[in-house]
Amino acid sequence: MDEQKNGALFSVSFLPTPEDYIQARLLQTQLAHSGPLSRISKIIGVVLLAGGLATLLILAKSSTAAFLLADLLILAGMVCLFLTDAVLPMLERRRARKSYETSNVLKDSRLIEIFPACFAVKTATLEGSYPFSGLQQVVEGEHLFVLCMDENCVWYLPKRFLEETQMEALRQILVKAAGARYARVYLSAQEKRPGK
Amino acid sequence: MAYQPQGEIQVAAASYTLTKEEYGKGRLLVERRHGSLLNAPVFYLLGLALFALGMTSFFYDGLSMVSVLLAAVLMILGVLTIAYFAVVKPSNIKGEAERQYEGSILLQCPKKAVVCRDVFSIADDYETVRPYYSEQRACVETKEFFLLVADRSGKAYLLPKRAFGGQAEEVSRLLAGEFGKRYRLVK
Repeated sequence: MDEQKNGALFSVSFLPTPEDYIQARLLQTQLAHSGPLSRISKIIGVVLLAGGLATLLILAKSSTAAFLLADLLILAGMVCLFLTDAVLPMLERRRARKSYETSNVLKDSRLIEIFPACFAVKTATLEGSYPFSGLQQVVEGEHLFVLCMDENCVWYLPKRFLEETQMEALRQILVKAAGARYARVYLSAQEKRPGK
Repeated sequence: MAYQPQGEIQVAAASYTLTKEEYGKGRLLVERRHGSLLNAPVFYLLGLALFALGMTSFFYDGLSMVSVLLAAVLMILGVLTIAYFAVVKPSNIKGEAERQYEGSILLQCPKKAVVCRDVFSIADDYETVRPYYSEQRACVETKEFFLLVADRSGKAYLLPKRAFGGQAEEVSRLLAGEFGKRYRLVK
């Protein structure tokens, strides 16, 4: 591409680990499920939990069927309440680990070069140059950046291979190019948040 | 004359631009066979089991209010489970695929595919991929396209048959031979 004529700002060559891939998938899943689904499932969970507890306290003393119903409602309530915070991430982690273990492509080492207007990727089977303006989604987690051109073309860049200045330069480029499509996702309460 | 390995001699070539419908169908097929819908039949059975359990629960406590409630909850859970995996999830996948297509410069740009004996390549304005068949998870052939599934993450390459014209049969024979047990023909 013409943008590459100016030379790369920096380049990173690395061998992805399973944890990198899993983190990237978790970040995308967390972002996808952080909106209305999370709120709705929590509300349904609370209602089911309350219904189950009420059934247990009021009706279960006199009937085994009521006890079973209470158990069912409490179980369904717990699943709904923790659906987006625990259940889905757990399933996604398991699926990502299986995908990584059975894939040759995901284990390929890669060279990622960052240019002012695009980034280039080279692996054993692919050579590509992607404009930042074409990114559908950019997710920043505590340990990596995830750059999504589309669901079939997702690249992640672990922060441990970047210096602070490089990280800040990349962040500024991504925020400017992606705008509202850039998101900072926190996977756990332990992660540092700005201003805290 | 430059040496060219036998496996990299061109068998067929095609130029095409993926359509939204093709991408949506391909995405759904990948998810059904190798992704999130792979275990859908298990959930159909689970849904049926819950429904059946609900039907029998009517009479658990002599048709009391509680047993009717229990039966209703189980039956609703059963119906919701089946409905989610049969209708909701496939619809979500197709909808998401269409949204992805509309926002993706990669999916909408014209591509050139070259099929060789051991390797295939797909090139467009942004990237060139050149994977070996031996490294792919599976190949699925439908009436409309060849779908080469890279791995369980959902990554796949879609080659429309319309782009190959008269060479489609030759490509079909080649892929069936190269993929062996990993090849499936879907009618």
